Amino acid sequence: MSDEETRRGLVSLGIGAAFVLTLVVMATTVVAGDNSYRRVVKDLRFQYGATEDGLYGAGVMGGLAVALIRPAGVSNMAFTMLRGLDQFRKSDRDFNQIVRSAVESSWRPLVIYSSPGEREWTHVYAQPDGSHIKLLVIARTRSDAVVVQARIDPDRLSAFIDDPRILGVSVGKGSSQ
Amino acid sequence: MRARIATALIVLATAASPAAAQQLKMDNLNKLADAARQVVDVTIDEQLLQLASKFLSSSRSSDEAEIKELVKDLKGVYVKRFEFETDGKYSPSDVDPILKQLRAPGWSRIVGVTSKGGDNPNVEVFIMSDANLIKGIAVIASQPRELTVVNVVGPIDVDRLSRLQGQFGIPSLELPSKPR
Repeated sequence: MSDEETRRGLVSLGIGAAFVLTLVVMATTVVAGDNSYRRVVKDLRFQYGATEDGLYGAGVMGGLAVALIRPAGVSNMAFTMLRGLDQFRKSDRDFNQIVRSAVESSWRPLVIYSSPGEREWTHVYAQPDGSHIKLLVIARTRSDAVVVQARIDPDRLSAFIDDPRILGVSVGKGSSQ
Repeated sequence: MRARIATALIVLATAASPAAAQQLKMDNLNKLADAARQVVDVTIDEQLLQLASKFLSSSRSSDEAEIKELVKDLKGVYVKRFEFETDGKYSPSDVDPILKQLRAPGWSRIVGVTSKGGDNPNVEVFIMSDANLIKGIAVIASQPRELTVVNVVGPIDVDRLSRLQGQFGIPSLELPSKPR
């Protein structure tokens, strides 16, 4: 291998690494400067002895894909799946309180749904971000919970509903025909 | 100069006070959550409402066009709904602080439906009006095992209130739609 080929290889590698790094930064900006997402995950893990399900890296890959493709006007998405929430450590009644205290006051509660009878809880918090809206969703069903944070462009999401396309490929009804 | 400042302060005060009066304080109902089988709590202020209304498209359907038009000038939508396993988990005294606010000047009770048993709720509709302009609406729907309080802040046509049922977290209150 000549010096020129080696140099080109290193440059390509550098560009690739920079690209991946940029994507990682884009994907993680969702939680930068705001600890609510991390605090909710941390507190639920700690209080209920839950474990994070890596989903074989789907969370990181999903975040990267969303940062790159921005489907349906969604950008900077992060999500964590928690398994094995042990109700004997903390009562179900405490769930709302734990979530509320972990979410910073800059987040406005949009919808709080509790159904202790069916052991289902959903908290949706919102934060206007210019013409975008940031959403933090914490949903729990029995012993599993998912925490999602995303930044959404309402105009692009509305356009996506009318004409669902990702990277120019239609994903709406009849797209497979 | 002093007169101008005083006038400005009076204008600001009169502009600000009705907005506060239209929005009901419903925090006292939060204590019912512990006894409830299901709780829905929706808080959408003006900024979020306008952002959320962007999801609605006038070109998608006439329904969405109408709802988008309806929420255009709204300042907020607030809903609290409790569903209980058995009767007697809440009492009229839990609703009294809300009713007390609705007895304040500006509010008028325009609809009162009392059901004798069955699954239909008792429904009371109140409006906050100033001259011919409706500036806020409150709906209290109660059943032995269900309590719903809806507060819509901002100018709204009361006949079109039923169009908001099922939107923005407002449950179906069995309000009749205005014939078109």
